[in-house]
Amino acid sequence: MLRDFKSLTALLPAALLPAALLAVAVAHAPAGAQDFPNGPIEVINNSKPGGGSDIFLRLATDAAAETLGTEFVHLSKTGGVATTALKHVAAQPADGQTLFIVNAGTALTILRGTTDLTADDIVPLVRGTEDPEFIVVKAGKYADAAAFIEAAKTGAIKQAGTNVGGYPHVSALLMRDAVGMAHQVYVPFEKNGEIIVNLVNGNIDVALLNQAEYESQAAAGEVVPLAILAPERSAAAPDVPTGHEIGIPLDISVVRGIGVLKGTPEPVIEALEAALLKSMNSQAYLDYLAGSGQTAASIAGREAFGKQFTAMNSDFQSVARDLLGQQ
Amino acid sequence: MDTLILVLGFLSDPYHLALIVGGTFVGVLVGALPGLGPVIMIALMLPFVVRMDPVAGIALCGIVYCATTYGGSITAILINTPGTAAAAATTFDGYPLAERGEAGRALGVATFSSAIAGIIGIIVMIIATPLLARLAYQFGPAEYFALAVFGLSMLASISGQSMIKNFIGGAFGVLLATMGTDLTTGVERFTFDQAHLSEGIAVVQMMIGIFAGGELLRQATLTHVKRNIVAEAVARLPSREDFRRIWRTVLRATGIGTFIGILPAEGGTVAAMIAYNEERRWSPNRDQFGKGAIEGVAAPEAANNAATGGTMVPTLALGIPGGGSTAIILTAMLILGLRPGPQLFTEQPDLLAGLFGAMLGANICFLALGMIGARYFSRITLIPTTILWPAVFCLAALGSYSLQQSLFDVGIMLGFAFLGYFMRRHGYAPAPIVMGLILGELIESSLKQSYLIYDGNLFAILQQPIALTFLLLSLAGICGPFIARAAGGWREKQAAEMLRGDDD
Repeated sequence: MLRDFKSLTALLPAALLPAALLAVAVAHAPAGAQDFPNGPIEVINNSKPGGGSDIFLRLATDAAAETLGTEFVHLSKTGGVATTALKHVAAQPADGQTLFIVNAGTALTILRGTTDLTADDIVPLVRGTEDPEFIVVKAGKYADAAAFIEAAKTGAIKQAGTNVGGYPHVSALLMRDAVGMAHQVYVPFEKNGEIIVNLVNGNIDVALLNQAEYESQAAAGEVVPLAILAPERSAAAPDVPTGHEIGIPLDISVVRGIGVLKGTPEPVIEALEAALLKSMNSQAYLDYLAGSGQTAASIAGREAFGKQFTAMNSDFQSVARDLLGQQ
Repeated sequence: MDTLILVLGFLSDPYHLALIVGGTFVGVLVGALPGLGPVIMIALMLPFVVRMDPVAGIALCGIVYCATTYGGSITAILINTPGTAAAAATTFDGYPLAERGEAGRALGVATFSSAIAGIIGIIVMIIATPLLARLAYQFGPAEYFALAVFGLSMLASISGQSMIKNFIGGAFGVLLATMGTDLTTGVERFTFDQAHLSEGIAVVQMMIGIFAGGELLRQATLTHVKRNIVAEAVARLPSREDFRRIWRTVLRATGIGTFIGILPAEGGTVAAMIAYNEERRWSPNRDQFGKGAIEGVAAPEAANNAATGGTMVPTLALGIPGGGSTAIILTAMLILGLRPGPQLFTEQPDLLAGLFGAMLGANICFLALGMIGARYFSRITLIPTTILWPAVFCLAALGSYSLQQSLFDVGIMLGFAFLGYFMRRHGYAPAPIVMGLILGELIESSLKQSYLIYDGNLFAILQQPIALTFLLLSLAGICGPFIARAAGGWREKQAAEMLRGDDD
């Protein structure tokens, strides 16, 4: 036993030498498109593992691993909305080996200036979800959308959402302005599931929810969606009018995409975009979209997503004062 | 009857049995590793699950969920390191038992309680889901506030240490819970401009620090002490007498765990804490709590495993996930084209039967695995401290790092290791701190939500029947002992009351 161990230790330097040489060779390899991908690709999320964004990233990149011939490693860097995640990203080389989530949290964090990255430093590569929000109220509380708007213009409305200062809060403020609410009381909850519970038991008046979040309760006749905040009605809920139809001209959806740092070689960006788009058009991913009432229309490439991200930034500017004032 | 046939049909498929055995084995292992828990495990599996047959895929999620929840108890007992947050309360009595050389007994009690409670929880899930799901709607912020106050009302006596020290520990825990971004105002508190702290202190890392790190430092001061642990005693499983002793405990904790599991906002961690509290309140052995009472192991383990069945209730019937794990299971269901709701029970009987059979199978499987394994796992406590504890420290550091690949989290763990050591040295038990931390956050956020909902009139909380009941129970729990002592001793008073009751 002991002798075996000794002979093993004698072998150790011999085994280490080629490994060391390999490490040196890898470190000196020029970063170009030819040798992309160079090892596993890191995907940085800005919220907790197991959450909606994490699930999106895992499913969106799943089939791309095979196309690119590498693996995706998913890391969560939470803190300060997207501050920790973007700081981590900024410290990496622009070689396409690090991808990151691009969502409303990313835009808000850039707006706040808690990271050195600006909107010009990132390339929104692909969009994977565009899950529209519905205005949902307790069944029987308001006769129709007009009654809700009337009530909101004259009295106080308790609106539920999640964390203050985050995207759900921004959405609520945008809705307040679009409806012309006299007095909005924003009641934040820790988890999305609590929102629907408190809507059903009457503790709150209204909430913005995705279809998957309210449909069980709507089917049971507990809650009613007044409007979908999208330019057009959803095929999954054709009876629900758009906000534009009922006098709330507002579009809000949960947008999630993937980005890379600007400065990444163009061939690398193209390879990543193509691989991710292909991955997201796989059956498993389309099933994931269908699970929340979405279609392949939620998937978009660099051009469309880049425009949308710019638009998102300017929308947020309009409520920025309300948000930043609370800091 | 039809359900039973479907369940048997599911279990008779060798593929499903292989899923149960494999899923349970991996789940127990992941649960036992500090830092990794059911949420991360199910998230990792998701891309594979969505390609599986729907029934098998959801069943696998259920298996892993049950097994990881149980697995947390193993490291909690053997090396004072809660494998998952829900197993934190298991360390309070589990580790003292192991230290005393009764690791096999503690593991056996944990395994038995976990499996029995898990099975009852699943039976409740399958029979009563359509009925109990409505309970979820009854709980708003006011009710959670009262429930958390009820949980904290045992703070003064939660550990055998002095009441004042328990209060100081509890207050410190509540203070720690205030770190991070305030839910209702968005203001950052005690974050010292560190983005890492903006979401509050990492609870699991902190617990690993207080429990495992603190214990390492304590053991470092005890290397000269000769331990007389007998190998045969270590591996000994609980006696029939032990099982008789914990029977009631398991049932009580199962009730608490199932109930809290059904509530959408809370899960196994709060359930284990409240079950531990209640057991300490009602057990005839309450003086032994914190020193190695088997009831103190049975209660939290029964509660957190019963909660796995409980959290499935609102997930399946209402589409409202009760926790992180069920949120991913719900996503998997939606991807596989399964819509949650009461209709699920009539439209998808094979899915329900599969989930039921799989979770039941997982509980039976880890019962066998745990009972056989206890004899071998328990021998870990025979490893000399000078070898075991440095190894535990590596595991603790790795576990703290792995969750977010963050060295900052390792720093948190180290900081709390020193804190845990000095607090213990000066007679502060970890139980009140952990309780303050877990329930403090719930108390604060639910109180502030109530304030917003009731237009600033907090007395409205007292108008909610469920909330009022819990608050009155808390009041009775706090004042009872004082009134009784004034009347000349708590036990005599109880006896006197019973006699008086007989006369009526």
